Amino acid sequence: MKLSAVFCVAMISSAVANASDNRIVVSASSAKGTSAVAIDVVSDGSVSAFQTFLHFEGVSDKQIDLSGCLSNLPKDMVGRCDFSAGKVVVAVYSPSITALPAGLTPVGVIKLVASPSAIRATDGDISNTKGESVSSLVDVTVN
Amino acid sequence: MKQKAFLGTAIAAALLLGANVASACAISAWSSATGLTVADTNEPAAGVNNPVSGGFTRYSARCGLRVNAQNKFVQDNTPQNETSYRVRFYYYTGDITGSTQIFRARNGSGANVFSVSHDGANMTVNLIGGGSDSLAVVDNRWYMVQLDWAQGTGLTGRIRGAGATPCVAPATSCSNNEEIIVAGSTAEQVQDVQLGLLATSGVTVTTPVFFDEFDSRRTTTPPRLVRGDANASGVVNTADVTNVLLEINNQGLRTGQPDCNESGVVNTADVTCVLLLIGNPD
Repeated sequence: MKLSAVFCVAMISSAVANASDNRIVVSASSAKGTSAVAIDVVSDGSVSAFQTFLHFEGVSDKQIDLSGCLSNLPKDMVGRCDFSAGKVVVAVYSPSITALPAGLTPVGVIKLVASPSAIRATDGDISNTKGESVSSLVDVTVN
Repeated sequence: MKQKAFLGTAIAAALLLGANVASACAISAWSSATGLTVADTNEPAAGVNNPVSGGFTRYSARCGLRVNAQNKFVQDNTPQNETSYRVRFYYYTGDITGSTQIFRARNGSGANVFSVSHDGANMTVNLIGGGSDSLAVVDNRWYMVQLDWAQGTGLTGRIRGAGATPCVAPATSCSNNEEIIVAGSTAEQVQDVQLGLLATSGVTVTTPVFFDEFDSRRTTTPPRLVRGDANASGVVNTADVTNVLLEINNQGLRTGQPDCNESGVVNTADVTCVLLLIGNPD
């Protein structure tokens, strides 16, 4: 079910990607008290860094598995995904200042041993290879 | 100096020791200079950006003011009998031996109303008729000096640098991070201020000191610049990571504060520093 939802988002995002469509896509699905939150980024071909803070309402840091948070990143992208001051900080950049390809790029998956009452994304920022912020969009979808 | 901003509350506001993109580095905004010329203000050059190796450093934007010997300073005569004076500047400690004042606000008789000294190991703030407060500092690091003085009251402010972490209340003193509190009550007025290595003897300079982002005002405190905000957006985010990388790759000096760890050099350590500041209050 989760994979279907993510795939659906990916297809839609890829089909309409342009300069105004740079965005981070957060897709959550829950079943039997656990949740999986997929993180993807949609780029117009200029993006080399992005970040967002994810707030999982009613979930403690001990219920969050961040081991796969950045596991799908392309090899020339690195970053940080950790629990800090009540939120998960996702921050990714390219050390070689290489742009992501146009379209959707998977970032990783956060697993929760809980079902959050709500998921909020704040402090979204997507920047290009010139270090210019080009978008702050973060789409959150809960299935 | 960079520019002279005419704020409504300014005394000699924003005698900044840098320059905007279109203008050259200069010290002409100051009333006078002793032992310093325009050649002492410059920007870091590609490949020669370490002051320990003879390069220039700056805290923000493009230019810094280098002081490589004692008795070299700039002076601002704009404060005329001010009964309140609030100042912020950035100081790169270099490597010096001996004790010297690096900033002083003087009264009409030429006596210090308050001053900041550096002896290579400590920075100390002194208030006429009052006490002093000091902080142990390390060589070759940037520190912010922020001081509020008003006639009839004491002196307050903060010295913080070298990439120091926040000093969490109720603590007033942490490593490289000191809240300045100097009690005292005087009827003084500030007539002029001087910035540089003010001692006339006893100071040896192994690595020059630098000054940047001097800002003085009458009623509002010049704010601390956002450390790691390389693109001067006001926040620290992944765009700043890319901006630091661009400067490291000689793609031009950034307009904000890319020297996140306040080491005097913009390098990959600043990339890590910026990344760690994202989402963490500083």
